[in-house]
Amino acid sequence: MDALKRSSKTITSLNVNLSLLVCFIVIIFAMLSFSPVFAAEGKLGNSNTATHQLGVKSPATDLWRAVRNRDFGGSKGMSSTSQIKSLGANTFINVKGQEWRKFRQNWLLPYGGYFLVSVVGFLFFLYVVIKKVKIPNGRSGKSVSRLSTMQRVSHWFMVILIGFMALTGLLLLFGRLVAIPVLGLDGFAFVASASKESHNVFGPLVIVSLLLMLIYFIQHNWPAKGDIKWLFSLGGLLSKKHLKIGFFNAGEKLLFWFTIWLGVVLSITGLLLLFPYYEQTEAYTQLAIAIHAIAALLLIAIAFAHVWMVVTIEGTMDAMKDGNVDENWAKYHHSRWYEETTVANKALDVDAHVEEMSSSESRKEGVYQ
Amino acid sequence: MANVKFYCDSERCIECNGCVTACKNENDVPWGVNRRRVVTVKDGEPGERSLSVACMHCSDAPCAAVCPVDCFYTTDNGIVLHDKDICIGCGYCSYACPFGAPQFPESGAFSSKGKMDKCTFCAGGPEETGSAEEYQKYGANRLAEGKLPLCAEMCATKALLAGDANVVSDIYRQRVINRSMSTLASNVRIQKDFLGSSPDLTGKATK
Repeated sequence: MDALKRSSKTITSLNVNLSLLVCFIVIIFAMLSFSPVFAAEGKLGNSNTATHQLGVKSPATDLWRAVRNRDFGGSKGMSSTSQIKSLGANTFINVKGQEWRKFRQNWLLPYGGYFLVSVVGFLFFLYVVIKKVKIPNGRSGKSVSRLSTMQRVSHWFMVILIGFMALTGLLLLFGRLVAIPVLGLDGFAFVASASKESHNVFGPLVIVSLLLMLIYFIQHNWPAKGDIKWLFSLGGLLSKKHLKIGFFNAGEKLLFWFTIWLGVVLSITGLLLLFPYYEQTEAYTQLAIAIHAIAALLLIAIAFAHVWMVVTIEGTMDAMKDGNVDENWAKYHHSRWYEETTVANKALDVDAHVEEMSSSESRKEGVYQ
Repeated sequence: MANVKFYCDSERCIECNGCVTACKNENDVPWGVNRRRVVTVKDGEPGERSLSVACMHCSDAPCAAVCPVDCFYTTDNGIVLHDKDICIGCGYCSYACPFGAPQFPESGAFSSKGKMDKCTFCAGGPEETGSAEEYQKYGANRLAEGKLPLCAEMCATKALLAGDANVVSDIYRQRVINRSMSTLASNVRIQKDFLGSSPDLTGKATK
């Protein structure tokens, strides 16, 4: 036993000596390699360069670059082919898919939902808290003609259409979260299928309604002098003087232009989505869905704000019912327009009196249209 | 239960499209729809490689995540299937899927998208196993008969592997080891031939 121990001791001492020697050699080599002369020599004898010159690399590396749509062989446009001729069949992996999923699941659904709920909640809060803006001095009983039949028709056409598109679109966007727990999978499948088909079929009609809206309302929606003042005083809330406003105030003009431009964006992206498998649109389909959804949520929020405004300000709804508004409403909310229109009406009145001679029927319609 | 997987061995695939044809025939897939496709890089050049691509039956399937009507479900075997009675053909799954697996037959007056169709790992669908409706909607249910997907069973070079993930990975691992050994052997040979007795520092390939 003693002999064994002793021998093991000598072995350990030998090991210590050896490790010291190794350390010493390593330090010497390290110093040498840092000196420029030896470094240059080291490069010459580099084994890696030798193997690289032999060109030994896995033949399949380019395949996996292509699979992830990464650059290979110096040229950016990698070419992979397939005997299957359907669209996108040449691509191994559509790397945008996960991004689109993340956008939809982690961004659009939660934040879009919060946005819509908070806008509607805020408007409801305003509706409860803020008193209705009454017509000063009450209704006069006299009415002033404000909107033509075609203006009202184009407005209500758009309301019905966009309301329907919003409902079906929201069902497709939030239905899985909101409607499936209520209707069940099969019940919602029927609703969603009908939503999808009708959203596709009636979608192009939105373009028609936008055109109608443009034709019949654009004349009143050009920017005018008092618009900036109206906006900065938050619609006259902050200004001491009562603002004289023409046919539409700046808020109504903003509503108009937001509706038109969001409608244009929705129409373009919507048309792209109607034909998703045309080669030109394939790359843009995911982007188009994203833009379509965001624009739609904005438009829906704006529409809710519009409804709140109409409900809050008494007498506004009259214009869209039969085209006439109360005289006191017109004097208060659109005084400049009222002055203009009464002057014009008086002139018309004179004409009408003359006309009355020939036909008594035409007067009623002629003056107030 | 086993967790089943596909794996395509790029060193073996010869782009014969046998898997595509076998799948189409076995499942009676609609016209214009291919549940499986073979994609090739560097066609006709050195380093040409092919892979057979279909639904990869993801553990965390993007199609199932984005589906607005929640028509996807995962079986005990880890196979991602969908219910064509619930599917509305919106195409969201195809935008989210990395592998281009969801396919849409044209339907309706404006040739819009019909119900989505995709690889079922030859496991049929939610209908009664072996029924005519199941075959008509989803194709063959070979798994219920104790068979593997026909694409893999037909593969002439055994490039396309299908089955229990552990078995598939064992087979592939063995192949990789064999190839590495042969590559290593050839590397040593090449180094011997080229370097000869050069004062190389590796000390491995000197004579």
